[in-house]
Amino acid sequence: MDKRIQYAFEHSKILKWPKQLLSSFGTSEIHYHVLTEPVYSEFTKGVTETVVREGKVSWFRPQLLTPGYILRIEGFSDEAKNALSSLANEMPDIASILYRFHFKREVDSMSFVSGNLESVAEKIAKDINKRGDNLAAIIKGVGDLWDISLSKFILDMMTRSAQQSQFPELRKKGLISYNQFGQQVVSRDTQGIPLVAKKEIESMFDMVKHGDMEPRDLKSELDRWSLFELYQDRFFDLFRRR
Amino acid sequence: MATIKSAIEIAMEKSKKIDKLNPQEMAEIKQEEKIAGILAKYYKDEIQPDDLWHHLKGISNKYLVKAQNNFLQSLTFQSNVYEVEKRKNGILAIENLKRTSQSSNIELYLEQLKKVQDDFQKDKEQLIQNAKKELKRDPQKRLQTLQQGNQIILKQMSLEEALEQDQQLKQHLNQVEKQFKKKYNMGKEKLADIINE
Repeated sequence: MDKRIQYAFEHSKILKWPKQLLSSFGTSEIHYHVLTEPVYSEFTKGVTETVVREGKVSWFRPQLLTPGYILRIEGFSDEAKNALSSLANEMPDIASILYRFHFKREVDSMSFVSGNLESVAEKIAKDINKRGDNLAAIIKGVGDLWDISLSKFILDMMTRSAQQSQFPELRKKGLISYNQFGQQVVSRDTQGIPLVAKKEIESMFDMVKHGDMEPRDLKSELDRWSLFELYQDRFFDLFRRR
Repeated sequence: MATIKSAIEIAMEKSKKIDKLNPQEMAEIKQEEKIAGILAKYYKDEIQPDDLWHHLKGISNKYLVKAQNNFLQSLTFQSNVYEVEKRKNGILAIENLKRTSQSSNIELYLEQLKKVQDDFQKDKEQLIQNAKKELKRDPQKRLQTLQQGNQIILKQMSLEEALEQDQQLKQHLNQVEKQFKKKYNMGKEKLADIINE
């Protein structure tokens, strides 16, 4: 990792976490505030200002997957696929959560607020609490590498949510369990079908039946779980009924 | 620790300058070859420390010291209990053949070397236990990420996997090993001084 990026990563700090974690069963949107000292601060004696960048990061619904499924998703490099491939061979049931997020590089607003970073953070925190916004965060960034600070927040937010919300909720629902080595694995039914796949597929069949989803999306999902053969009769039935 | 040149090495150097070796040099080479053969048998467990004593009996002090140094140099911080014991017995068996024996002194330093290894193992175990506790206290540290653009995959590692990938632990273990290795080598140097006296 580039030394400047590493420095920014290590010196970024989350000053206020959102009260809510990322949703396990829906989308989430977080309003971020990245606070940095202005790059010109050393030339302005006696005048203290803080740069406040605001924007939004949104997450799609987290998905519980197996390494084999992930291998069949588009968009992963050969290097990542190699890592996943060995994981899929050695531990095909290992539970992984896929997060997809979106944020614009351009911030929604950038302002220069008088006061040092701590006092500005305090003011914004008060305002967030007053609004009752449970999905807002304040991040202490590093100069012009503020987007690295934001990346750190995004990653931390996901690990925090996975650990405190997604994994426990999935365990509670019986979709994952621990194996004898203390690893979290997807639970399967008597036919060997991952329960999470079954749940997902049933809901997609329902959506296709009601015209809320294209059959090809269902077909892709069945292929990713390598379950088309098992469900093909039901899949073709959908067309007969139409 | 200064390395001691064998008669063969000295002879090889000399042979580059002059064509022939004198009879004394030839005798030294033969003697060293003989000792090397005996030590090889000992290393291969073909003879016991008592046999070593019998085989080397009557050999001059100079060669006994070289044989002891051979054992000492083959002792490393990574040597296991069996290897250490074997070399210790070898060094002590030869020491009894020397004009002035310093067996108790040598034994003391060899025990100290063993203690350094034991202390390292204890410290290592403690560091691993602390890291385990920390991973149990903060399970978030057990999450492994794989990022590709705006997609991130998270999986929770088992405690053992997380320990294997714990960079901080690796760093600490390296530091501790370095310190103990230094201590071990200092002990070896002191031992070499006693043997070479």
